[in-house]
Amino acid sequence: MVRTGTGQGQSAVRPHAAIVGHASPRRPAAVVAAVLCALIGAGMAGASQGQSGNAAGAGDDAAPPRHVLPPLSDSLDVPIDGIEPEPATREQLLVRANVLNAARLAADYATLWEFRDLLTVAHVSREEFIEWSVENDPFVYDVAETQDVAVDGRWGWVRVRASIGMRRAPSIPPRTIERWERWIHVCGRWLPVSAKEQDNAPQAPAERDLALEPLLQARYDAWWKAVEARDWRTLYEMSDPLDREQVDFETFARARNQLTFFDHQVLWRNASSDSGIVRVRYLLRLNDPNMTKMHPVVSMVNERWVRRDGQWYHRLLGGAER
Amino acid sequence: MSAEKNLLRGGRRHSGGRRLPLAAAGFACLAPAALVLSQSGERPSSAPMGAATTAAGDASGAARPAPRRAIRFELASSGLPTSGSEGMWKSDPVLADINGNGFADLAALPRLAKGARVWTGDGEGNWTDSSNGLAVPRTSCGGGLAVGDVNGDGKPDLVVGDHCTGIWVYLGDGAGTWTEVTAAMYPVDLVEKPGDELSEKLVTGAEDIAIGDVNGDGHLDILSGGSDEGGLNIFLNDGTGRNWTRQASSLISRGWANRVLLVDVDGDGRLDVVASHSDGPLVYLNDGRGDWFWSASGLPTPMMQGLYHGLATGDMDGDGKLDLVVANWVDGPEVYFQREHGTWQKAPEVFPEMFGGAVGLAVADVDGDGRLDIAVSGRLQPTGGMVRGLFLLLNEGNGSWRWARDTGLPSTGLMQTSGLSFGDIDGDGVPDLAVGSGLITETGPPGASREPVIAHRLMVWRGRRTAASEDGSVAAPGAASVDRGGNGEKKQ
Repeated sequence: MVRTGTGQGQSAVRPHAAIVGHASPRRPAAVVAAVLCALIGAGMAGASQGQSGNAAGAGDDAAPPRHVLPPLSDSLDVPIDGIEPEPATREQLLVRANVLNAARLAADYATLWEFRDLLTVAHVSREEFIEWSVENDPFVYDVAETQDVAVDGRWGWVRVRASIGMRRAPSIPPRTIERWERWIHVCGRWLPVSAKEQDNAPQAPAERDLALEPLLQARYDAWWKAVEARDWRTLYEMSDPLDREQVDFETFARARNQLTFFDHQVLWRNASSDSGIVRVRYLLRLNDPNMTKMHPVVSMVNERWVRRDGQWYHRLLGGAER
Repeated sequence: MSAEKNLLRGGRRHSGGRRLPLAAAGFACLAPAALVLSQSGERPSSAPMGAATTAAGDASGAARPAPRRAIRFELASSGLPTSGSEGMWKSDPVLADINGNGFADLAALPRLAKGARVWTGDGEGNWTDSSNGLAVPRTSCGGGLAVGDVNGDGKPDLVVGDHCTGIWVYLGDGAGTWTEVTAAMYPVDLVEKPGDELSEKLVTGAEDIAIGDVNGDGHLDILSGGSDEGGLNIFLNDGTGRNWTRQASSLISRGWANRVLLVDVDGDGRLDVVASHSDGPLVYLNDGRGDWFWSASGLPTPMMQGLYHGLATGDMDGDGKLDLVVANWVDGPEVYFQREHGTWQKAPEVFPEMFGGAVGLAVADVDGDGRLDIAVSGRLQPTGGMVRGLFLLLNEGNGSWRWARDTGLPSTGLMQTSGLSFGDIDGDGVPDLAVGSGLITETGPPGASREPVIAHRLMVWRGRRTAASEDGSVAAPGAASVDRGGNGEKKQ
């Protein structure tokens, strides 16, 4: 059961992405986007008036209401629906990555502030960030080098080699790492994907099995067709056989019946070894007779898949990969 | 069913024990009109304001309602908070005569402040703080209150259920000074891991409370609804108001309850439990032997927890049975009629114009036609900003209600609201409305006002019946704009 709050309650507020869109209505998307982009002093290209869950054709006399997704949103669960992807180049990302790494080395928090994610910028002032970081930044960079850069649409990846020590434990030797860092082009500039949003961005192409992704996409497309047709038997059979051992069909069908999906949009897919993720924006509604006036809401979901004997299966249950 | 019996049914919160002497009813939150018809020598604890006419009509067999009067509300909130540190009034305010001067006084509980507050009323809409002794060392979080004589000294006391810190009991001296005798009480034995802070936090809060004599010993007991996982709990009073014993019972022991009531649902003379629990509205009947049994067949069990907030009871269809009114956070107010064998049947949609959900709710016969009307706080559309309003739904007498648009109540422009209560602040027999507001409100669209249309965060609206209205409309004099149906159509 999804939990809502007790008005201004604290511990009792347990929103769900599929619910809060109505219960705590989102501000007009373009407005939010404009505000957030303004906070980092950036322009906002392509902002549109996407309003989550509005029925298309509401003003048409004859057209029956049809629920469709609003325009493409940012896919990081940042409430900036309406920002369209903008042309972004590898060279621009390289410049930004080098500036970031130089700031890391110099502990230049004023510059590092320019690379904070939008939600941080919205809730913490530049001065607060600098003051806090000067006192509390746990890391010291001895090395921070850009080694490679990749770009795919609004997504970017930077291969970084860094040597990082613990500021308050100088006796611990610095740790040298090499990793792909995920970036997104938003509000007219490249920003690193924040730590809490890592799961909402695809891995770097070099870390993925790109050849498997078309098969994953095709499998998802077939899965969505079954969702649209409310063909629970097909969906069940496309589910991970190991999960099916724990969830019988009746339970599965009962759960599926609780939601109606109106529209979907695949944002990215990511296949790596035998694990796959398809990140999707859905427009959906709870089928609860006690909430007949609830508007459809946009929900971002990472649909997880597992490959067994060459076939992709949809994961029903969370937890560690098996 | 007798009128007397009927009077014992229905109503709002702060339901004192039925077995209190009538003298104690001076501080009951009831209209004088309702009190007059109580011939039993018992406090008609649960009768909604104005229910007297309905009850009398039922008893005499007269089906014809009294003439409907047009109703207007005007703000009567001088001296009540407008903003500042105590600007978030998260409770159903209580209107009750605390100082015995014949006029209703006001009690309410703020969020992010220092405890409950009481104001004495002068009958003219002027309020004077009378909270000496109520300040708490910890931050209060909102919740519920009840006024009643918990120690039998004839003076009203105050029971507070706080969302964060549990149940507090204050003995009153009748002159505005309160003495704390119970602090931060909660169902200790429900803590799964004693000593573990998180485990304790799950059951320490009380989202709402009601008081009433549940075991017939003449003392007011407490029903609390947990604010997280405490479920529903009864605390029995030893008569001092200082010592409380949690009753081991079959009441649900998990989840939270946004509102709770003690009312006699089945007419057996015993107080029963009604709650807008996180699982949905719940009813438990008192078996008279110290336990309760579930009686909620037909009530909704939504997929979303915490969907139901405001709660009231009353004989909404005049059949002599207590019915249930609940505020659905998405769909708006809903009425459930009590049918045979304690089952419940949902009425047709009560407020079709409301698409933004309801929070607070109260019932009373506002227009004097003998039928119970519904006041609702909520919003018409699910948008952000200062869009909350107050709405009066008039009982049409055929199992339906109609939004009276021209009552003077703001239909938009308020901050997020919490609770509502009816009372009679000036003794004119017309229900007045107390409203808790000022909760955190979503930002509205660009250009929208950032200030509510009413400066008061805690407000009282005084009701006036202005003119007879034979056709049942409730238009104010000189303004004949009336909604004729559920489609929002206006007829001039």
